[in-house]
Amino acid sequence: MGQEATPEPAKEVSELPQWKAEDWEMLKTGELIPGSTIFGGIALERLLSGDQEPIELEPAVREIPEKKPVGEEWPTKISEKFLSRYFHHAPKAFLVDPQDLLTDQQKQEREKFLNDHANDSGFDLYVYLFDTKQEIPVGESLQGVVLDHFADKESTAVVFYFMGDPQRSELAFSEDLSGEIHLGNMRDLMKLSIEEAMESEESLAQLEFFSGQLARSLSGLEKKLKEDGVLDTRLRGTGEKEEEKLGSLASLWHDFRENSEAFLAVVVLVSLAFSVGLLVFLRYLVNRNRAFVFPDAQGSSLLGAPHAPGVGSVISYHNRTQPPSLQRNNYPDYLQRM
Amino acid sequence: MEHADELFGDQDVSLQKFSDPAGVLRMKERKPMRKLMERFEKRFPQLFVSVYLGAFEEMTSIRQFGFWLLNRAAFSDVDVNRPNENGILIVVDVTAKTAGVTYGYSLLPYLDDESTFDALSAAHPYLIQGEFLQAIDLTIRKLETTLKKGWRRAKRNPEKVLGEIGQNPVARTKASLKGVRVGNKISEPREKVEVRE
Repeated sequence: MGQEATPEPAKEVSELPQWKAEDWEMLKTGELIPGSTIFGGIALERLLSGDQEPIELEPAVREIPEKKPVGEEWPTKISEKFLSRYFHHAPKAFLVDPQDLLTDQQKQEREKFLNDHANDSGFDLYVYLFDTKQEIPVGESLQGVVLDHFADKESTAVVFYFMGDPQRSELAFSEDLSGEIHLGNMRDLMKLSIEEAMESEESLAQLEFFSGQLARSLSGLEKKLKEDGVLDTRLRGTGEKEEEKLGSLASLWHDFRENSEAFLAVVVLVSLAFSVGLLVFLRYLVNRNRAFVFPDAQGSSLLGAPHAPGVGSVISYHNRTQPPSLQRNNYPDYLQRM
Repeated sequence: MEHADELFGDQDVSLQKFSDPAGVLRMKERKPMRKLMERFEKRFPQLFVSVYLGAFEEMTSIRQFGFWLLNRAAFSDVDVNRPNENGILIVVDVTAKTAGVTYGYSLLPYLDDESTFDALSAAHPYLIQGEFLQAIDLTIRKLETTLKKGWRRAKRNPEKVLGEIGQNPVARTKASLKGVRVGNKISEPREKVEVRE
């Protein structure tokens, strides 16, 4: 603390070159060629001499080894901290990416796609993402994950997908369908999806193509299973999902009814609003057909006029630009005269 | 009144509640005009509104003409229970481009210069455009609003409202209603006087 910081000396900045009068003269006579200092003396000489022979690089220069791009080292091992979320817990969403191989935006897009697919189709599709070279740890497997976490789920497909290497992907179905879908069918599904993914070299696009094709194939499979009659017993149809939605709405309503204070407040507010609306409407109806009867009165006449006293307003409208207030006839001239 | 009689005549004139000697209203507009006047009468069973669209050439004051006409007119199509004291007259001079509202004694507690001016001001844009049906409609609607407010005040405290302009409330009888109308009844054949324009 007691030491004072000494300011560092300012770095000298080289000044920009300035044109001189003699430079201008040299430029006009052709002695000076702009940029010749950049080309170098040899290049300048060659330019002036008109020599078209290629420049031979010196052996020392030729033998400088080219820098090879450093090969990316793909991790092969999945970090311990991610193993639990991959293999030991049931997934909370259709996309499982604990290593954040995708950005948040990309994750949202993929999850939206998988959610939409689940809503539109009888199949749920779960995708586990791994890095390109990562190996599934010994003792863990796709079948193990399905048995452990998808045993109570029906009509579900689970995929282990390796980013950038779709050919390593694996597919498994929940237990209820494993007997219905032949191994050949599964191979066809994967083959089509991998071929679609390989249309692109970009890993994210590969994932999109892969999941898109797999979703379409699953829809086709769903149709086929419906035709075979498996749907009624095993495959969870969209109708059931709608019933689930209705069930959840009923559950919400039930919860709301149980919360007596909130329910009472809403009922009172709605009743109040309805009553006010009804009153306003009734008042409108009454006023609409109402007859206004004034009290009869007796008074003396003015200015010898039997019926009307000659009061009221007069307005002119000959001037389009002036407001009515400036075109008001204020003075009853005949009354003044009288 | 004598001065007005000197200018326009001292005889009563037979008139319909809607007159368009200027001929500014199209045929198809006449029926709606009568409808809105009937609407007013339905809402206010003691009152009536009359409209006179004239094209005067030498008249000096539309106000004076309105005053004279409401005192001298015998409206042939107005019920006898609606005397001129209970009438509102809207006069428009399409030549001088002026419009005025005048009214009978019975409406003194409820209308005044300001409220009638407000009604005419609301119609001002339509008057400029020569849309007389809309102008009259809007004027009458504005007057209706003012009359409703006056009716509420009078309902609460009739003595006070009528006393402000020196009137006294009287019990409503059939005779009293006819009494105020008697001035308009043409009991004897009398000379019709054409309104000079």
